[in-house]
Order: sequence, then structure tokens, then C-alpha cells
Amino acid sequence: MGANESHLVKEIGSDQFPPNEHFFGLINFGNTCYCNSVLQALFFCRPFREKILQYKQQQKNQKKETLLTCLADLFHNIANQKKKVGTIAPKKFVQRLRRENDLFDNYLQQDAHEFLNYLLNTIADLLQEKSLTSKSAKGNNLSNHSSAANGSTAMANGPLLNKNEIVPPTWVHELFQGTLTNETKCMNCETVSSKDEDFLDLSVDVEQNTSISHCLRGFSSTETLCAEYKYYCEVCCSKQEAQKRMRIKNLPQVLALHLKRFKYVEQVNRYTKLSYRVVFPLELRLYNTSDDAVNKDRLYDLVSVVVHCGTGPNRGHYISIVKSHGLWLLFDDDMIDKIEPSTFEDFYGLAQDFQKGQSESGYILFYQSREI
Amino acid sequence: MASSDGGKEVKTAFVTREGKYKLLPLSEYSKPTRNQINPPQYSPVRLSFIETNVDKSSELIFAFNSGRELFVYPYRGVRKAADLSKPIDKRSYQGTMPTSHDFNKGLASADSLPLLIGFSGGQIQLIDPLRKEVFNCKLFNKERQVDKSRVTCVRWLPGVQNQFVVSHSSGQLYVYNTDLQTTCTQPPHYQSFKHTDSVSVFTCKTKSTRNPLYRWVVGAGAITHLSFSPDGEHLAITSADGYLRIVHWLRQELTTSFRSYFGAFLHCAWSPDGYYVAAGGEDDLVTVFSMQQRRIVCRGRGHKSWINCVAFDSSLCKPLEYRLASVGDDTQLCLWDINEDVLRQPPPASRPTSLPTPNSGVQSTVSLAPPSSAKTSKSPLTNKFVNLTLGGDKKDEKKEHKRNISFTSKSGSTNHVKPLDDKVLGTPVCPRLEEVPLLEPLICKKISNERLTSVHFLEECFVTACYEGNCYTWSRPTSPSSVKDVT
Ligand SMILES: [Zn+2]
Repeated sequence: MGANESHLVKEIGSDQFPPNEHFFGLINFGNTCYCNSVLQALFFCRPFREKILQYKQQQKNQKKETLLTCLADLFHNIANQKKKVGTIAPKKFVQRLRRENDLFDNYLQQDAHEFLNYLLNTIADLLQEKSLTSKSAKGNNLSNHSSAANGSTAMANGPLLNKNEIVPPTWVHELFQGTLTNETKCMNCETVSSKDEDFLDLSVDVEQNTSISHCLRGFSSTETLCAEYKYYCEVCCSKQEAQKRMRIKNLPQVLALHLKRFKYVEQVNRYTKLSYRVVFPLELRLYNTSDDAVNKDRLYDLVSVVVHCGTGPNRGHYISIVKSHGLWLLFDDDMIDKIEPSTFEDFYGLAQDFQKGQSESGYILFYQSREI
Repeated sequence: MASSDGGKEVKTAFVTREGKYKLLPLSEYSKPTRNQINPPQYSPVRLSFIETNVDKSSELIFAFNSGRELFVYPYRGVRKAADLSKPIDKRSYQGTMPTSHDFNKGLASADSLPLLIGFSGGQIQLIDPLRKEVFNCKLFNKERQVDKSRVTCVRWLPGVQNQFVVSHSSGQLYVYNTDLQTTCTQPPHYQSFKHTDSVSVFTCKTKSTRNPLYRWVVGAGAITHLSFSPDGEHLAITSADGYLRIVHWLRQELTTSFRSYFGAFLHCAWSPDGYYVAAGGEDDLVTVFSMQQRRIVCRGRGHKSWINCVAFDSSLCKPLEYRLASVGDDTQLCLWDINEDVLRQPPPASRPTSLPTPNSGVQSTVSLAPPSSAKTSKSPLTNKFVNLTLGGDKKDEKKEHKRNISFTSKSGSTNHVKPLDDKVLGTPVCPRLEEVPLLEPLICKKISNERLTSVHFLEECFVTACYEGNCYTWSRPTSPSSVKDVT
């Protein structure tokens, strides 16, 4: 490890090393790279890190251990290291995670996106619970969120919150939550009905040799509901053919995009990986916004990427690339390297379907709005 | 394994209003060893064409890079099949690979064909494929003291036969004189020469004139492409910082600039009359900018991924009517008709902007001749032998794409893209999406299984190149009287 530390400091240049910044690799506790990669991606998502550290400050006397207190301890621990570079064991956090959710209570490789979803929802729940109890409000009526079913067609991975107005939005929602508007147009009476739906991250289908912008546009493409999928129109009081499209109405501060690279193939009865080459720019605006979106031309900067390496969801490896003070770093469990954006080419995926070999491909992209 | 790409067929012909374009399978040029997949780090395949006059007939010659190799072939057009067994030149490099090339139009003749080649390791080589025996190659920035970063574009200066400009991914460009000493064992010292907005010009701080003559620092990201205006007066520079900057070359000043909707601009081209500049990049859009009005006049949406090359088809361009082509990572070719309806649209009623004032239009009479270039017009030609394997720092090269890179100190500024503020959105420099016409392509066809890197128009055909190093010829619609299909 020692060699690694000095190596990285030398690479960055001690005079160039960002002040008050810490680059700490996370030790792997047996297939916990899905967890490590997401934690690093979130740590370098500055607004998220700041909120977690603030929570730590406010919760000094908290006795009860939760996933959130474990995460706050871990981030606090990293942020207060004397050394600039090193490794740390997220032991307490992983233990807590395994205790709280059966899904993660094993030594198998897990889906990093499922973990992200579980983590954000759990933090949101804990914060809401706290704000409710502190207001001595009524008992905990929060729904117990199951993590988004993998491979399901659900595209908006929303907090399945009961739209109970008493429940105040937490900072998790302030950072990650956006709103989709689901517009359905009855082909018979042409009435358009729209329904809003909140999300914490978006899962998009991937296509070969496309950009993330294109995948997002595909996400919002118009779908015709016909035959057995006809839509019940309230105006016509009958089932009718309809056109449906889903566009983004409220753009989140931090846009988390999950590329649906794991596809269930019935013939082989398992998930296979779509290693398609999907390029993602350092800067992004969205094309799939609704007409009434208020912040539709928000400019985003890429801040971190969780990369999946290998062939399937339950095998392979996760790493993350993160941006810190204009530097790009690659975190591979306890290993850290400085990388150049010109090498991102390696993380877009494979341009040809028959191409074999190591597929390192972007799996979760975190874009942060430039305004914050 | 069957293609899972939605069963999208690769088109070998397509029809537009002017007629049918057809792929000519026999006029395909490629590197002789096929079917090997280039690693992703390979550079885009670029095409350079040159016309040489032999007796009274003219001959087309073209160069393309593929992986570590560079090929020069006679281009036999649509009537004769390609003959891959007889390249004019074929070079293979180790430790570095060609990224860009340009023939010297002023010096090209039946027996001389100076060709510049830029490399991923930062070096620039000058060769003459027609005089291999007698011409001694020159290698600039061999020691990588000037710039260690990848060469992204090389271009001869218009109207000057012994000078060229080279851009690097470090965000800098340099001007070299081919008659001056190529070696540079010490990093050059620069002094500030001229500074305007996001463009700074430096000269070498030495008693005698040396290479590089000038260093330009442009914008806040890697320079991705260079293109001189048809009159040679302006240079368009695309950058990873999302800007296309147009500089007045002799005055060494920024004339104007415009911004992508988001992300890097990767390529640009001038309309044949020099009135418009088209650009493409990471926003999947083509963007067309008017030099006269100093504003973006339209955008085009049709690509599914980044656009690697844009080109005007000069044979289908006339005043207020332009034909543009674009190719990209989505393996598609798009053709765009930009006509009067679009170009005559009034600019959006937008708020006043801080556009750079248009230049007066008065031709600068001050000739900023590079210091004492005249004195050295005849080079000493001590001609050190330059090895074909550009050996400079092989170790660095090999490591370039691995993760455990030990970066030696870089020359000049780094290539980190500094976030620019978003204040230009909604101005003529970067209108909102709904503020300018958003064109649909005339046609949008998947013409390859591989990502496309180049498109180039010739009199009777156009040529596309893809990442794997294959160059395809597409015949233009033929009038009934002219030659039928080539067999
Ligand atoms: Zn109806």
C-alpha cells in the first residue's frame, strides 16, 4: 500500500494535490466492490458528501446504529485522515448492510445499481423518520421500500413514497429527485392525461453505438398502447388505443443514470450483459424534457461513473472513476490511479457485437448540475 | 453471434432528390490485413486527398491512417477498382501512431508530394512518398520537448509552402517552419506575444529563430480539429471545451466563437464560399454558424451518437443553398439541406450579448511574417537520418492507455477542461434549442457496421472511412448518358 500512496501523490504532484482532499481506497470484504464503487462515486459527489458530513456533525450523540450512521462515520473517517492517500476498511458499514438486508447478506457479487437504490431509499427513510419523530408526529408509516426489481420494466426508480404531504422531502430528495411526466393521449377523443412520477435515478435501455443522450431520448420516445395493452380512457369510459410518452418535467440537481446493461435472456435462464458502446460526455444537457419543464436546459457535469467489468451481473467486478478538483481518479477497491479523460474511451463499452474480451463499461453515471 | 443491433441493415445504396448513390465494393481501400479489431485507443481514420498533374491529366492520390500504419494510394475513382497491392507508400510505426496528415498543395507535383504526419506521441513527420529514395524525412518535436501530448491535427499554412500548424490535445497549437532546425533538446522558452480573450500567442525566446515559431494557447480543453477558411484568412479551431473559435490567422486574433449545445466539438468544415462553418461533436448535433451574421443559424438532429466528421459537398452548394454531410460513432451518414428558408430566418429576439465585435472587414496589410523566416528559406539540410520507428519515449507510449500511468511533467498547460460558465446559453453564441431551426436530415442511413470517422467529397463520388481502416467509395447519381455501374 505504501508504494501506492506515494506513487499517487507523486503522480498528481504534491504541489498540485488538492487541499483538504483525501483519496482513500476501500478494502474489499469478499465481492463488495459493488458497494465500494458506489460509495466512492457518492463520496466524490460533493453535495452528497457534504450532507453526510453535516449529518455526522449533528448526530454526535446518536446511539442507535443505522446504515446512515455507518456511512456518516465512514465518510467522516476518510475526510479526517491525516494522510492524503491511503486505504480504509468499510467494515462497520458492510456489516450493517448485511445485517439489514438479506439480499446483501452473502459473499456474492451484487448489482451496484440495486445497492445504490437501496442506500438512497434507506437514507431518505431514516431522515424522514427522524424528522417525523422530532416533530413527535404520528408513528412510522413509511413504506418499506424493496429495492427496484432488477430487469423490471420500471424505468423511474422512484422513492415509493406515500404522497403524504406530512412527509417532508429530505436532502436526498433535494439532491437526486426529479419528476417525470407521463403523458397519455387517447387516440379516440385525443384527451391528454398526464401523471407525474418522482424518481431518484433513471434506468435507460442501451443500444449499440449510441450516446447516453440518444438512450435518454429513447427513454422518452412515444409508445403506442394497443391490442391487449389498450388504455382505459376516463372520457370515453372504455379501453382505447393511446400514445404514451414519458418526459422529464423537473430536472434533479444530481442526475443519476443507470444503463440497463443486464438483460434477462429466457433461453439461457440468466442475465447477460449488453456491452454495447454507449458514449457519455463530460458535459450534458437533456433533450427529453417536457414542454413545461422549468429548468429544461440545465447544464450538467459528469462527476463520477460506476463501471462494470466482466460478463454478467453476478460475476465480474465494479470500479469507479471520479472527478476531484479537476483531476480524474480511478478507484478499484483499495487501488487508486490518476487517469486522463482521454482514456474514458476504455469505459464506453465494445463497439462491435462480436468483439470479445474484457468489457469495462459505464454502468451508473452521476451528473451534477453546474448551478449548485 | 448474430448482430443484436435491432437487425438494422447496412445500406449499400440510398436515394436522395438528386438520384441514387451507390457503394462501389471494388473501390474499397483498406489496409491489406483485414478483420483485426483495432483497440479502442486507436485514432480516428482520416483521409487526405491531393491532385497532381501528370502531363495534361490530373491524378488523385490519397493518404489514410489506420492503427499504427499510414497508407498512400493512387485514388482510382469510380471507374477503376482499387489496387491494394500497389501502394505509393506504406509506413508502419512503433511506439506512436499517426493521427492526422496533410499534403502540401503548393509543392505537390508529378514527382514530389510533401506529406505531413502528426502522431499520438506529439511528433510531426515530413515525408515525400514520391521521393522516398532521395528525400530525407524530417521529424519535428522528436524529443517531445515542445509538447508531449497527442497531435490532433496538422495543416500546411495556406499560401506558405514551408510552414505548418499543428494542434495538440494539450490545448495548444504550434507553428513550425520546415526549413528550420527540427531538433529541440531543451524545452523552449516562450515570451508572450499577443493576447486576446481565450487565445494567447507566444514566440520562442531565443536570439536566433527556431522552431516552433509560435505557440498558441487556445481555450480550456484539447484542440480537436483545425480548418482554414477557403480564402486562407481564418482558422476554425474546435475544442473539447465546447467552443469553436475562429481566429484571424495573420492578425493572430480571435475573430468570433460559438458554443456547442453541450460537450466537445470534434470536427468542423467551411462552406465552399466561406460564409458558413459547420461543426459536430458530443451533443449529437450538427451546428451551422454564419460568419456574416455572427450567429448560429441552425442545428441538425439525426445522429444517435457523437459526430466525428462534417463536410460540405461543394458540387451541391450554391448561394443560400448548401449540402452538408456528417458521419459519426452511430455508424450513420446524414445528409442535410440547408436552404434559404433556414438561412433567411430572422435571428431570435434575444437579449443583447457580448459578442466579439465583428472585424472591420478591412484586409490587414500588416504581414506578420514569422521572425526572419526569409533568412532561413534554404535549410542547412544537415539531414540527420530519422528512423521510421519514432522511438521517442516508447515506454511512455506503451503505458499511455494503461491505468498505472506515471505521468512525467507535462509541457505547458494541462488539458483539464475547466468548467465554463453557462452564461452564453440563450445568446447567438449558443441559442436555446427552440431558438434556432432544428433540421431533420435529408437522409440518415446506417452505412457501416463500424463507427465512421471521415467523409470526403470528390467530383464524381464521395469517400467514407471507418474506425477499422476501410475507406469506401460511393458513386454519385449518374445522368443516363454517363457510365453505368462499374464492374
Ligand atoms: Zn378517450
